[in-house]
Amino acid sequence: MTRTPSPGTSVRFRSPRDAALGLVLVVIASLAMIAMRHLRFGSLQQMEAGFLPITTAFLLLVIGVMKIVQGYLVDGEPIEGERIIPLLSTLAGISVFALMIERLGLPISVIALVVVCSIGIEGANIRQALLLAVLLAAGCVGLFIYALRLPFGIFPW
Amino acid sequence: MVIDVLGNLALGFGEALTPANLLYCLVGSLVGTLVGVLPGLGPLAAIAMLLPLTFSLPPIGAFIMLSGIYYGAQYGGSIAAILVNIPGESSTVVTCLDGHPMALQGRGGAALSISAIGSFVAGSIVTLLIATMATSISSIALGFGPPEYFSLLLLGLIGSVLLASGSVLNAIAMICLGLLLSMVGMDPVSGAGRMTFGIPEFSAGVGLIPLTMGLFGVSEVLYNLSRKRNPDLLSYGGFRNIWPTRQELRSSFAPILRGTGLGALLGILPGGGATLSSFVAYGVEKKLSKEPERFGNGAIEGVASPEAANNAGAQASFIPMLTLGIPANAVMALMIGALSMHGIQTGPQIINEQPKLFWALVASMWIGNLMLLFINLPLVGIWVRLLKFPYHFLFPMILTFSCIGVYGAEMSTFDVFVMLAFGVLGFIIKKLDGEPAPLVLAFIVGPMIEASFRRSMIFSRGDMTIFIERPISAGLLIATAALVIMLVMPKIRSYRREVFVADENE
Repeated sequence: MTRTPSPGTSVRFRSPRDAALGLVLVVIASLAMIAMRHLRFGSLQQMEAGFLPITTAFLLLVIGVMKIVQGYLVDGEPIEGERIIPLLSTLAGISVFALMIERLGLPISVIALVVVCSIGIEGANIRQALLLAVLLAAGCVGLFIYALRLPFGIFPW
Repeated sequence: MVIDVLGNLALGFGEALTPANLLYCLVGSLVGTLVGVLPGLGPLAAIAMLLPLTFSLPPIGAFIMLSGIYYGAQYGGSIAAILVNIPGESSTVVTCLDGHPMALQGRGGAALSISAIGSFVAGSIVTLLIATMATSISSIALGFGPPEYFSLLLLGLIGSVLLASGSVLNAIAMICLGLLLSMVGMDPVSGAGRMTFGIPEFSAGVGLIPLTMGLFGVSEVLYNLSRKRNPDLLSYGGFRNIWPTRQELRSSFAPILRGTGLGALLGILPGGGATLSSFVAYGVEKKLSKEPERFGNGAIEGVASPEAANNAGAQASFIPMLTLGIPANAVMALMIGALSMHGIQTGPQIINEQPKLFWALVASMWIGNLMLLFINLPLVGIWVRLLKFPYHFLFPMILTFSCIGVYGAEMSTFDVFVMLAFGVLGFIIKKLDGEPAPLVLAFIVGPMIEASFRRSMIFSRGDMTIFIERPISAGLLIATAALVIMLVMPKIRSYRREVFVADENE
């Protein structure tokens, strides 16, 4: 995100963080506006469903553009992102939980979540992760199913 | 008047002292201390995580427990700050400045007990303040129409900018994003679907629980894991004697009272609360001191005053929430969300419609503070051991509780994916110097802002001057304008920068 290619030369953003935040805001605002293109806007006298959300999205778009300009003109800090694998395993772990919980019940889903999200984490090893997973699953069954009586399935069947 | 207050407090204590409610209060305070001690897990994440668990409790019990988490977190944050120089909470950043040097000089015990005593004194005074002021504030607010509410909410949102670290523009962007997200789903007036992207689950709007858990639980985990080194702890000063000397007690007396006053004042203000209060209190003590050079090297006043202030601020921020239904900060916004999930509408009518709930909460605050005073000091050893708990064990637990909490609230796997999405969004925002707190605040007050604005416009037939024609509304808007001017004034900006630089240096 530090540079955007342009013909011949490359444009340098002096504050990549600000520029990137601006870009994120512009993308979100644009998506929102596309989603609302069929909504009626109305007027101050007669506000329709789209009046406030479209106005807000427009404001967000303006701020996003301001941030991009700020990122181009004003000095700032680079974006730090050292490690990718822990992030991926966390996201994978949560997804696995979401996909499993309805069919396979609470304990198996918790074990899967803990094991998957411990992949590639500094200091964690598979034996400890498994142990933690089993203990945590047992604790969760006790707390959520027996003590709080939440309607989770314990087993796949 | 005095009789009224006493009668009300008696009603409250009668309700709060039932064994079940005492238990909820204790559990809340303990869990709050726990999350306050553990770095990277704030009261917002804790309240969001425990929200689904409180659904099975009666509303009073649920509310008592959630409040316990909030003020317990202030105590827990101080422990981590003093003993290991890591602010578990943003409101305890300044406690590190003098608390940790005291710990290194072997006076950690004294710092802890002064901080606990200061917090207790502050909590007690503010509890009385709430009891005496609440009824009159609510009765003023009962006359509020939509324009007054709109102006008040606007003031609250702009106030929250003061709290967000970093740039004002970023904070305003986060507020807009929060407002926009709050408008997802069916339009309350016409029923038209807005920004649902054709997904049926979105027609009811974005869920509060997946949103907060994603922004504060999951994103915090992602943020910590992405850093090169996980924070390594322990430069633990140790302490032999937890009792402060007579001299230390004497020099803490006035700072505690000053801190309480400042905290009470700043906590009521929109956007105020614990963090702002403690920063200001530290600054004031340093200014007033005859030997300011002692500050930063273990001055007891530098612990006593901010600690009293952050607890006073935390509790005073209940005042606008309970009497007006307006959140002073994101935690209070979450409380409003929690209450509405229990079918209780916050606002000026709550004192009259739910007197038991209201006064039980006020009473339980005091009880909670008393409990914290007595459980915290003896348990310090356990809390310190928790600080050594390795992160690679902690984060799977945070994720597990988040997933189960989100799924358990609605039995919806869709919500788990929504949490995941907001976790990623929160992570990106944090990496790019944005703050999720104003976003959540705006998300929660969004529907109120929209409704009060639309009602005002129907009332005035589209004439915007209604907001300045009505005196209370005009006054609130003038206050908002004053805040905006303050925010762009160079002197305040540099003060803000100073404060938040201290924040980053942890």
